[in-house]
Amino acid sequence: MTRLHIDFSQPTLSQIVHRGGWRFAIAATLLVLILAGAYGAIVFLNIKIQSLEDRLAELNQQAMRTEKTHRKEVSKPPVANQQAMLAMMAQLNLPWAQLLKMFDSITSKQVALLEFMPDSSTRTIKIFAEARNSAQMTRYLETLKKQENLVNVRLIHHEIYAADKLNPIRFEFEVQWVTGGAP
Amino acid sequence: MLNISSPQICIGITPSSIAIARVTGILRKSNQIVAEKMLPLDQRGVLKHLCDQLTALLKENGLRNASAKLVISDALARFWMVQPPLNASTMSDLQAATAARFQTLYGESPSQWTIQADYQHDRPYLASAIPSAWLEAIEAVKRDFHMKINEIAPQSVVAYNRWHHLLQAGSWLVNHQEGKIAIAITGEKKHIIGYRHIQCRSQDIADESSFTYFLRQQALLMSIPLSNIICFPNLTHELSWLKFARAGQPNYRVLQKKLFDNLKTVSSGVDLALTGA
Repeated sequence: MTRLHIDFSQPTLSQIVHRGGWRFAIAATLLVLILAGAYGAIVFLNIKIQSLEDRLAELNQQAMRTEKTHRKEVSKPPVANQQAMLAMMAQLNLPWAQLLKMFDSITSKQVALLEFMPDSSTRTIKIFAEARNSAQMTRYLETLKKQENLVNVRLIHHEIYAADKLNPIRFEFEVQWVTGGAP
Repeated sequence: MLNISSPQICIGITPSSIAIARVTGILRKSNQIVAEKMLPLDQRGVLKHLCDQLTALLKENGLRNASAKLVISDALARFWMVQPPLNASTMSDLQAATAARFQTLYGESPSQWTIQADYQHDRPYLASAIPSAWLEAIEAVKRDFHMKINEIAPQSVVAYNRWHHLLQAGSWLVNHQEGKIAIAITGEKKHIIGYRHIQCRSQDIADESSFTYFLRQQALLMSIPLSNIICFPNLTHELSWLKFARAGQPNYRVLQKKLFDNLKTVSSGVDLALTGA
């Protein structure tokens, strides 16, 4: 049910107010309240957003500080660890196959290699071996000296192994290996 | 511009009288007749005299800058029902149909009239016209007194808009003024489906049976059943028998009788002013 829209006056704002009466007053009050509420909400949200942005910036800074510290920790591992790691890497990088092949080719049945201890930092290999007699030992060391890849062949220690009834000679020596140049 | 301190007034204008009611209060309105003027017989219905009297009343009561509502007698306006054309698609189509219907009914060009209607595209609607010269004269008074005119409408329209919530579907809204009866007939959804403004004799309104007989004739003419008769409050003075009307067919009911209870002398202009106040 609606009113009759027959009015011969010129439409004006005061006419709308007049027709609305108390309904208009309530609607206007509600509108004002809604607008005030919306404004308040916007102000509140702005403050909230600002505080959140501040908090975010603070967290970012904190995160950056933590990251820097972490980077320092990661980039500067303890020296001992570093050295151990480098040593391990060097050990892994040894030309094992090449060295073993070479020693295998020159070692005769009269000489047995017991222990093989390479040191990658000095490119030195300390070897324990056993020979039938001193002549065999000397011959073996001479053969090693003739190898291109091996230099500084040095006998460190030798003795007769009395526990064995064949009385073999056990000796310790070291060599340096070279890879296409100076050691 | 809005000015809540300006006086709120309602002006009733009939061919024979002018009255001004002052309205106070916002949520609970009250009204008081502050000026009333009956025109001499030879000046009745003459635009110039009515405007002169209105100007004089406004001046006497110092009603400058007032916020006013004008209720014009149905006698000064024309009413007709318009069936919207089936092919009407725009507002201008409805306006053209309304103007054409005016010309058909009254046999004159609508150029000298200002037409307003409750335009509807899906059902018949009520249209009304007031001479443009009247509106121009009112506009001149408005300018002279720096008034704000909130509404200018015929009494039946104002009454319907004020009291339609009290009506029942199929009610007849009836007013009697200066020898003429205005009848607005509502349909199922309380929309106005018919309007008649007809001359009546004094014996037609003398008692309940005569008046009922008169209304039944109108119902027959329009092929509309007669059920609830809702009378304007001022009719309790004009049709004194309404106080004792029996319940039956049709039922008579007077709208807001208390509006006129304390008034001793009532001119038709006062009826209008209080209808709008």
